[in-house]
Amino acid sequence: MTARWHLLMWPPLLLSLALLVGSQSIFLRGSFFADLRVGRLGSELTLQNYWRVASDGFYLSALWLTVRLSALVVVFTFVLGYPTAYILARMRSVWAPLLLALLVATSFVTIVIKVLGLVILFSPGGLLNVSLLWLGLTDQPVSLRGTEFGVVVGLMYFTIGFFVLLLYGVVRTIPRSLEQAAQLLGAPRWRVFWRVVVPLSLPGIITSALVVFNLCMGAFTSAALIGAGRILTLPVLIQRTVMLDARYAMGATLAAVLLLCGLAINLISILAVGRLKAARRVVA
Amino acid sequence: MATVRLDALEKRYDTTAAVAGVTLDIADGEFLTLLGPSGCGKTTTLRMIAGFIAPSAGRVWIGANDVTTQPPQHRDVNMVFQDYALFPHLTVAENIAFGLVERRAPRAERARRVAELLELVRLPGHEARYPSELSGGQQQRVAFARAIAHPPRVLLMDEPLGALDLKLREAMQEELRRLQRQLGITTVYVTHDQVEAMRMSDRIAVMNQGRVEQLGTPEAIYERPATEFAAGFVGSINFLKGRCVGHEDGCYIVETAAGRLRADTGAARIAGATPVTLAVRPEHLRLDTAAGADGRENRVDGQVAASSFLGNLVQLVVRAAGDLELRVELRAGDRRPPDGATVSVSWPTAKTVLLPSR
Amino acid sequence: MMARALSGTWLALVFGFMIAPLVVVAGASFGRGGRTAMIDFPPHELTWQWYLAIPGDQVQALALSISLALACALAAALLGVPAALGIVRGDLPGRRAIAALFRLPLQIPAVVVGVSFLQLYYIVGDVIELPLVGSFWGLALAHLFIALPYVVGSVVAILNRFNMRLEEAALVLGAGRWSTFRRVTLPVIMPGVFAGAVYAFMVSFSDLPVALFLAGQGFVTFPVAIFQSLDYDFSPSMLALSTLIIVFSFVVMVVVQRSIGLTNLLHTGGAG
Repeated sequence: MTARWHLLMWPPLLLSLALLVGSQSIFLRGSFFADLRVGRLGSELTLQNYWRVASDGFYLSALWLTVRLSALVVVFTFVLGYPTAYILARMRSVWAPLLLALLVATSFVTIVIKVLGLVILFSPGGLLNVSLLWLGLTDQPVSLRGTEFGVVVGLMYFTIGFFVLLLYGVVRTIPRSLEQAAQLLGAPRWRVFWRVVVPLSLPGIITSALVVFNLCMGAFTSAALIGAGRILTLPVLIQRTVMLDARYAMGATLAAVLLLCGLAINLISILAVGRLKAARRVVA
Repeated sequence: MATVRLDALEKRYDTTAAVAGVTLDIADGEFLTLLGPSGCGKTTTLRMIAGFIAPSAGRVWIGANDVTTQPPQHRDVNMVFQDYALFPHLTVAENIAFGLVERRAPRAERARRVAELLELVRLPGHEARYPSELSGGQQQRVAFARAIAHPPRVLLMDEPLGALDLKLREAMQEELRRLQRQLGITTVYVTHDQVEAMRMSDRIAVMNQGRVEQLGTPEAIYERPATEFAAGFVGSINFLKGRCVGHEDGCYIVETAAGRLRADTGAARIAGATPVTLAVRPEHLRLDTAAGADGRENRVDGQVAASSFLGNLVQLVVRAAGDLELRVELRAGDRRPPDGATVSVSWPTAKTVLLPSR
Repeated sequence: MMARALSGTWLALVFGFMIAPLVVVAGASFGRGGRTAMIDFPPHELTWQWYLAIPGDQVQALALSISLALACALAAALLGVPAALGIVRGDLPGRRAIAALFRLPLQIPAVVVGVSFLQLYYIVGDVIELPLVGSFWGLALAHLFIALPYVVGSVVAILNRFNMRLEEAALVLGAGRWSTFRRVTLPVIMPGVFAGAVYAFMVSFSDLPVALFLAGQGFVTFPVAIFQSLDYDFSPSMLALSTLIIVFSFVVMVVVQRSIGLTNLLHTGGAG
């Protein structure tokens, strides 16, 4: 019984590592050299790019914008997604598997097409604006492209299906009997939800929310397509810095900042969930 | 078909011994059961016979071959698993024919054998079903059919009925026993259910803490248990602690809290004044009879502490002197004394077994 | 009863919100189209005209996206299965760390993957004197990099739930190691492999940022084509193609659910 299974792992691991280390080291190394524009780098090691990001209001506001929009998306996604996940997980009708399939299928349609649909929906003569104008809710067409609101909506399409599926899994692991027990102890439904379901799914909620936040921080497609060059989140800014301005070192610096943010979020998530679980063990 | 010989078989994990020296000879065509509580080493022993676990010491012989170092696929044994381990991606027919395909049996031969086996396990016409479409009992039969498709020299069964409910379990016990007799395959069976072991086995090996406590026919183990553990694990029994004070007329005389009692059968040679335990089955105990004039009866007085009605019999707990509790089983028709009544309990010395105290 | 009506309404609203853009795309694709087709929803009259007049370069972009995604899914499956077997079955110390290494690419934003591969390819391309940027294999390799974690994750998940008794049963039935792997292990973990490959396909197919960096002249994936047309020359035939993709995605999901069940897909740890 001494099969050498681990030998199988090395070719894919080495390939993956070579690509990871190769691409990231070459790229990130560039962030420590002066940016001479048009793709050229200075010859001396320097932290001046990082200093610029930390001191230039333009970059700082881009970072703040990215964090702010991501946080908004998390909040909206949670408000829409959590009750949906709960209802789906507790549903006993024949519709449940169908709705779940629909959810997965829509999540699997590429975000590019969803954004395309959104842009049409919100176009000046589109269905939504015509109805809004007709209802007198607004006196001029609501625009999506180039607005922060639009980017938030677009990012939500990127995250919500995924978020609902994650929390669906979390709620399914909470035995229904716990809720029934709480109800028998005299708690009304909303109290049961608040005192049983929410605390038990809290680690799942936190992890999922941080995953969504992380996804949004790095999301390019929705932000670029809907932002239309006017909403410059960090990923969009990186793409433009490199592609339009050919400032590789600056792009690499921004990417490093983005990676650091992601790392920090991951650490927070591990610590927070670890703490919650530890606390629960003490109670139990 | 073949004999199996386990020679001082051991399996140690770090410092603990899962199996601490098991020696067993299993006859050709015999149905032998390893019986014991969970963690007693019975499954580890079985898996060492199969070749899934390498023993730390000792040998495994099948027929004339020492197979200790052979991998499972070369031992020519087969196994029925507790969860059946039917291949979920294959049909019933493909499951049964799995080993035949490995042995390059021709297609027509395989189909014939599958049909024959399904007939044998009473599932004809189920060839094209998938395991997930079968009930637990049906899956069990398919697992059995798969294990004997190419008749193994030894068939191993690891709690194969553990997942079935009581009624089905009893039916399958009879069926498995019938098939085993019919085919004459040497079988090693693992269970923690003593009723199942008694019903099916030619011989039982009662295991505890990695050792065989007693090996014998079901009758021998029930009537003449060799240790307190074997006596307590198989059926229910009363234990009376005491001290052996002598030996006369082929009887051991034992001083207990409830007085002086006698035992005809003893498990071991008992030296004078050693602590011993007397064991007697509840169904041998009677109420209110006069003591045998020939002294072939033991007798203890006490009060009825509790009684419960179990349908075909009534179970009484009688509390005697020295906080001794005796379990008495009466037939349902017998007169049943009320709780608190003073009764005298008697039983034949011939049914009293003397055991060394632990 | 109140609660049921409430939750029904809620679901209708949320699902309506989620499907709306897809319905709009599909609806508008049958519209006659005004100055731009984008404003013709709901369509005033139905027409197939855009489906019949899909320009060659759009078909080409779609064909490129599909072949890229297929190559990526296949390669990810071929590399992901041995990787997962090594992680779960190989009793190496630090298996968790190795599993984490395989997940690492998920932590890198796609834009960063795009830029960094662009630079890597410039340098490596100079050395081996092959243009990797703007080449099929260059882009496929970058997609493999971001898709491999999904296959590894899904196969690890199914291997962790694998019942080892099945392999023991095969062994005592006389099957050797290779035969056991081929006849039992591989078919039983196949749903996980398939689920992971579907993920890998979708990751590659939906990718915009990486392709944006690594695309070249006349070498454009479908998402890049949409990206470019939104700003410059939007043609309604794009809607027709998108509708076909929506239908295709739904068909894939039905096939997946029929063959391996949704739960398998949900358990694949696509979350990373």
